[in-house]
Amino acid sequence: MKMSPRKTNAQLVASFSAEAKKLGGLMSANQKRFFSVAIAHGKDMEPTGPLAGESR
Amino acid sequence: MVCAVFKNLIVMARRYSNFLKYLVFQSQSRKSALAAFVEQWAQWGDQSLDASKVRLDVIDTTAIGAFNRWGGDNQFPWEDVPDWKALDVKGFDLSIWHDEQLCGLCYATPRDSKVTIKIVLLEGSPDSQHPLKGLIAALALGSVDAYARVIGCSCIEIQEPRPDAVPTYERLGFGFDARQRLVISVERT
Repeated sequence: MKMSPRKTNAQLVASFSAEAKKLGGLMSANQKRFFSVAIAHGKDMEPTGPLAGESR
Repeated sequence: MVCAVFKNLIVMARRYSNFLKYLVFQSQSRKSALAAFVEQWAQWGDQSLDASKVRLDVIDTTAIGAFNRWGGDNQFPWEDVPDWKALDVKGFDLSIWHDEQLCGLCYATPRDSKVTIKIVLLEGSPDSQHPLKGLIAALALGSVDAYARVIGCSCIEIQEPRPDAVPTYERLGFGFDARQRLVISVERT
């Protein structure tokens, strides 16, 4: 059985970061829309407090 | 005996590697979402906010402490998020800050789904004058969108949207599907 050399933590982090950047790509159309719509609407874009979720 | 110990060590190493992988994926998603926001803010040319002071971070004891100082009726169990994270390696926690002021919190997870990531909890500060008022949903959803692309989910669902926030989600592009789930497709870049 051939063993791959053990990676250090720093090497693992670097490798996962590179993978995330590749998979994530550039700014998405969703992100552009989320940010531009919210910036355009200003402070009235959303109510204060809870926005989603079940109360305890 | 030696073989069993060796196998256990391999399993532990794989679990650790997987845990670290999702931590890095989450961190990278927060960073890329923040960079996208800062870029959009700069293009808009609005001077009302110093975008360089916006921070996207984890939900840790500092965030929970700041949340407890919000006051109000503490409807959501944010103090449980670190325990949820320990059991749910893909769970995505987000605290949204302006400088040292906590302005929003979000928890999302795909759980066992390879298709949909759900926004389980999302809350903005009850202070109507906080610096990121109006931007909490966009910052949270922009971060979850980045994470969804990294982990390969193709849909974001808002679980239990607050009725008064539904128009906000609809303005952002969400819509109800045939099963009355408030969703948006994740587009690949």
